[in-house]
Amino acid sequence: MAVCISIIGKDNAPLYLTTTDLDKELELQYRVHAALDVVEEKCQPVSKGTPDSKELYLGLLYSTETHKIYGFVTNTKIKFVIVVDSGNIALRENEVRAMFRNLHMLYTDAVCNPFYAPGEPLTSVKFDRAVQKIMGGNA
Amino acid sequence: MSVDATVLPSELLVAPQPLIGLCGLDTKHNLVHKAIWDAFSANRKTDRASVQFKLLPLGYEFPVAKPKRASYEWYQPKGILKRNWMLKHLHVLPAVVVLFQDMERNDPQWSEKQVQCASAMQSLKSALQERNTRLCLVLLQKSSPLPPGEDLLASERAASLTTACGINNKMLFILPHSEHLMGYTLRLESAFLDMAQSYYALMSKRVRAHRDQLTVAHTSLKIRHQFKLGFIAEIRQDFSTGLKHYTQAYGTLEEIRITDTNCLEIKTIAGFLNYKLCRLMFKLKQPRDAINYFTTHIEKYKNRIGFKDLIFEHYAWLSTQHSMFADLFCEAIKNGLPALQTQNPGIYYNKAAEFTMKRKEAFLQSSAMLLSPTDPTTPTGMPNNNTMTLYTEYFGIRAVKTGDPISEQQTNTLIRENEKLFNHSNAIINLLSLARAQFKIYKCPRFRNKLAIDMAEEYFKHGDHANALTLYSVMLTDYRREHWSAIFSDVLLKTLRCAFLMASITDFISCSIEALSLRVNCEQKERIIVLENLWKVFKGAAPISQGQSAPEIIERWENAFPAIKSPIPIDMDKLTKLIEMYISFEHLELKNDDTINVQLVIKLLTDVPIKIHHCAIILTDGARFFKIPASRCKSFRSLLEVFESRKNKQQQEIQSQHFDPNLKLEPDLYYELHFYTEAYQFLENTQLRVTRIEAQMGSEKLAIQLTKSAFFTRNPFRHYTRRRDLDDNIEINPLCYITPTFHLSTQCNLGKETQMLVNEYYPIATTINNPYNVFLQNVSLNISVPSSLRNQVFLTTDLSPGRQKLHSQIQIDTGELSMQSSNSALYYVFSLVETPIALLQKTSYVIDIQRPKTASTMTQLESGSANSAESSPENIRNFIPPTDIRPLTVSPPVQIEFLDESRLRKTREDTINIECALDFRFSARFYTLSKRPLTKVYRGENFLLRANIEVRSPVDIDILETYFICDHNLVQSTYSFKRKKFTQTYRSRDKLEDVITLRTNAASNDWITSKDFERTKSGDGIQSELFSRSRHARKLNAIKNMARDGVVGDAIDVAASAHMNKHLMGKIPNNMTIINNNAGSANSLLLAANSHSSMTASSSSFDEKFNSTQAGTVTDGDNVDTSLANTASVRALNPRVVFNKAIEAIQATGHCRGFFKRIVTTEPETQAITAHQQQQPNFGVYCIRWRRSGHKEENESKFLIHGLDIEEPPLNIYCTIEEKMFVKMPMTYKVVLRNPTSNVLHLVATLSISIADNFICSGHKQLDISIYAYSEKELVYNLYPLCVGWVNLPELTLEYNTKADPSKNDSHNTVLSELVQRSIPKKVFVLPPLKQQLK
Repeated sequence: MAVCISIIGKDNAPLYLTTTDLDKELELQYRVHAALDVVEEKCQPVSKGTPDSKELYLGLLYSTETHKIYGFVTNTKIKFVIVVDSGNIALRENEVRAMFRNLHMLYTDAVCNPFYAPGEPLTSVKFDRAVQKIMGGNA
Repeated sequence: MSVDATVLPSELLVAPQPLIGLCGLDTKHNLVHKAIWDAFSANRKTDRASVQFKLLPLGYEFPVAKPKRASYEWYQPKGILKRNWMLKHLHVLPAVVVLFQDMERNDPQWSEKQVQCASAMQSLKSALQERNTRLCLVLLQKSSPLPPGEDLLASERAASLTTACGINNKMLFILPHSEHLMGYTLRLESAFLDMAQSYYALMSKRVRAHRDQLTVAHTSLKIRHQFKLGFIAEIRQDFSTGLKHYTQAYGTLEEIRITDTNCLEIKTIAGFLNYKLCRLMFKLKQPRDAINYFTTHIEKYKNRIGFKDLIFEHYAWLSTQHSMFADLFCEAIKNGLPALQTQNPGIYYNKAAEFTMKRKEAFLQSSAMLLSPTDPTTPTGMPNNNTMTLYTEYFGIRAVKTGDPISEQQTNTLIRENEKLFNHSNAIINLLSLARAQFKIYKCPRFRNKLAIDMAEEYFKHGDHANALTLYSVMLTDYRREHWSAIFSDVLLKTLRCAFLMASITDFISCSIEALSLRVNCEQKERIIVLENLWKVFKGAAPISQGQSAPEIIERWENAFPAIKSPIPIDMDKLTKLIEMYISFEHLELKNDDTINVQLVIKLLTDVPIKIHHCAIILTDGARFFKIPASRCKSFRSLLEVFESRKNKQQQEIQSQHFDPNLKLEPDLYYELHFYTEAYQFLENTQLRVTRIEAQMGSEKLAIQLTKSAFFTRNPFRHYTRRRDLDDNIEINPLCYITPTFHLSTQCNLGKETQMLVNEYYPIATTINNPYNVFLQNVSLNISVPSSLRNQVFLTTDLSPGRQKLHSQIQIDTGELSMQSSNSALYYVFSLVETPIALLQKTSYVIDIQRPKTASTMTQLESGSANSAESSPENIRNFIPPTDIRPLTVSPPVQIEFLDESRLRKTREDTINIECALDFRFSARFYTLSKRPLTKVYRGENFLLRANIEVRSPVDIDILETYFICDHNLVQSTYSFKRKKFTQTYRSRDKLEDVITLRTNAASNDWITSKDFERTKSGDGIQSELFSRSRHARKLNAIKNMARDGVVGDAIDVAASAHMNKHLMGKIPNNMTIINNNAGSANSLLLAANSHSSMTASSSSFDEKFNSTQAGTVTDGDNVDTSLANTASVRALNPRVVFNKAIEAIQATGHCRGFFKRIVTTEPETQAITAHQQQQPNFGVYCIRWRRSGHKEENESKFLIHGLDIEEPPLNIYCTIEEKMFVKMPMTYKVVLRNPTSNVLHLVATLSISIADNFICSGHKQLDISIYAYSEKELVYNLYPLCVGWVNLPELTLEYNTKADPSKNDSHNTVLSELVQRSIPKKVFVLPPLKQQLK
């Protein structure tokens, strides 16, 4: 379902990134990296008075010929970016949302591991397996 | 004309405007004509109507109108849009042709000119046959025309001219060119515009008429007509109509079935229409519609590729579409459209660039496919001009015979040939840079960076390695910061490759070094290759890259080597971490004569070994930089070993080898390097820091200088990472403080057994000792009272009898101190309050500077060459130490001050803590004579002062004397005739009591202050005593008084006192002297001696004011014996004189009387007076002279006695009884009544003896008395006591004689009886008869 799922830390360094297509991984990394611009722009407070919205899902960040890129930001400013194939018209936004929600859960589980040091890349095999499942669309 | 069918023609891109032709103007030769032409054409700003003027030369050939087709039934057009149509209407065929003629209205040759004009007009008319082009005539005249109707000649001539030329008279204009040319021009312009409008309106009507003749089959004609209508509407600036027509045309276009053959035309026309549509939509402020329209347009035609062979053409078309749309978008933004990050022109430029890339790719693919089987020479043999054969008069149609495969093939080859000429890379880079510019505006740095990478890649592909390298290396820093290792590795390796191809040695080396880092995604094999290549470069050989050692590259490298200057500096801070390290001083603090040992632990973050040499650290003391080379080195398998070795140091000393100049760092080992230098090379009191670590790498031929700042931060959460072993459990001393040696030691004799007391001159002897072998000059001891205790605690060095100068700061200079010698200083502390005292002691001396010598083990870097790198901002930033290693607090602080080149002063600050204990607790109360508490004092009445003293001193003291110095207004007499004896030694908690009888001579209002005293004295020169007597004679009557008790205002709020003290601190004059303090009741009396008084002692030292405050009584003596005051010889900042003995202080005033006045000391005089009126006066000072048992020094504690209000009584009653009474011995009981008022008093005195039968009494039982003003009356009774013991006296009652003085009433009587109660004793003790009496 998704082409690429990535988790990006507070300092915009990647914590986790996986793709379905290894050949395109670099290109996708560039895309995800560039998407951070949009994430940053969207995360900026609109005006000083308004409180930060509770909505973590940022929606479609941008789309290219081949891919659609969706974003999600946790309260701790961890960014999730999911890249979806543009050709996949059947995919509805709700499903993307659900993917993010699942991913968020997985992430919180992973960081709750006492052996995980915050800020380090996520290397948990279990986490990886679960994320691959989400990518496959059967989470 | 380009064959590239995808490019939009320029006529499409311009905004269509009405075309107006001007003829008959000779701009080259005629200045007037030129001015007119300029007025029309030049400076066309936005406020002017959008018109295009065209200068038509004589004999301009207008396009000939085509014959009209009667019917379209059988007409099949070959294409949709003709190439020339837009051009024709934009630039060739004017809507209005204006003929300019120089004809004055009163021209003598009018008729000739008229003929000329008519012929010119005629020729124009014939040229414009069949056209609806409007013709008009403008006469250029010098003078402005008269109002119509006035100039008959002119109107007549105009009429004749219009008929001759065959034009409507509305088509005739006159342009006076002498003045207001611009205004006339504008008016003409609008007239022309009107004509043009009607021309275009007519034209669109004609087109519409054509359209009506069309049938369903004429789809392409329909499109053409709609396009024409849209275009005309646009010329007429009717944008919404234009939009409508274009939309219809676009809709109709969709009806045509797309085949390979017409695909190009359809796409071209669709592109035109889309362009026009989007343009108008942006113009009509519908950006959303425009974007949506464009997106659907692209969606629709994205997959309409057409000929498979010419797929690159399709991409070219897509690219053009995007870039054109982006241009439109940009223009709209320029006109005020706000754009978003997610919707900005950059996106479209980017897409355009992407499609151009695809175009390039597709072209390369197809040509590769095509060229491989055929002979590669054939296409090159094609002549270029052959491309013109493809030209047709329709847009998007090529001169190809459809259905002819060979011809098609040829055409395709031609097109491909043409495509070859196109510089794809340039186009891509151009579009990318446009996109980058846009992304910069819309805050997309990462998008921009990505585009830069794309650009670099394109440069690279294009063979422009230099540009690629520049771009890549710029991007390296950005991506390095982002920590996306995959991306960074990609960029790094590409940069490395570019550097290799460009033979850019510096870049190659720095990239290679960075590529060695484990953070870059590389295999170990690759790293080994990188390292090998690096060493090749160091050895002066060109690196080898995957067999791609083309000879020209090798040559390039060989050329590059001589130009490079070894060593090349490389800042490791800017690169990805290759080395993990920390640096630490062995000791946080060092003595001047110690050895500084710096330890550096290094571990490589790579899996290949690295050889370094010339490893050194740069130390700094803040101002200068020193380079220290490594001297020892040791390797460890794990960090644990490093710690272990540190624990058993001696072992380490043996084991560690000398630093190998060529150290090979193995990837798995830890290395500990040691750097030694002598501390005496640095100045004392400096903090050393390691700023940088330097090492060289490479061969003698070519080396690099690696520098790394020693800035160290611990990783957050480091305690959770077990793999990172370097930074846990490490004790790091980032600083090394060279503690200064202070050559003096001081010692005070503050023993426990001699506790300081309040009001005591407490001696402190300080021994200054110089245990070093140095010679010290200007040794001095500076002791100061902390500011919180100023005016409460004082210092002095002189205890000469009588007075001491008091200071809050003293300095004792002991001069020089030779080696191993000592000296001592003595001074005294005096405190008025019971408080812990922390004196500030500053010891200082001057010593010759021991110049820091630079030893051979280190080199001082020149400030200039303290490395060019140093001045770069990054380095400077690195020098700022992180906050967590801010200077350590070193105690005791030693300040070093450079006096001159060769000498410096060292100062150390210490505190001397002294506990000050209370001497006495003092309280005093006033009582009436009948021993009742006294609340108010009547003038002339006697009362008692009872002083209670409790010794609180922890040590035994001898009280020598106590005495009371009363105010001038009071008369003091002893209460009992018992002599006070104070020979005894008192211990703590011992109590003493002293009773003194006092009487006032003046009521509060008449209280004589020192001021009054002085005034009168200087005024009439009467002797002071006489004066005071005479002035107050009427009031001063010695009246005996039966006393009542009162309370002395003794308890004063301590808090208030503290406040007052603080408040006064700044106000007390410098030359204030403090006499006294009562610690118990916080009453203190300060005597201020004005030592700077210029008056001579004898003549003017009369005055001494005892100004008291709530907190302390400050006596601001205006003049004290100057000579005495100045005898104090101690050098001090604030000279003060304390009169050790209060009595001496009084005497020192000259007139020997105390004026105690409660006045807020330092306030201005007026305020003082008001204060005096409101407040109670002071009655005097109670002094206790004492000394420590066994000591000789006498001290005096002084306590201020606050007085009570003194009132004027209605009557003074003095009662006199004999001191001793014996039974059956008659005695006299005398009551003296004194009238202090100025009226006559009428009283009735009654003596009642009815109750007490203890006396036999003689005298008037009841008596009417009249007392004159200020006179007195005596009542004398003889009493004969009958029994022994306490007996009640006969009761005397006084009443006003209401008969004699009707003004008095009962209330007055009550007052009177109170007075009697208060003054007259009730009981007496009658003694038994004396022995001789009994006999």
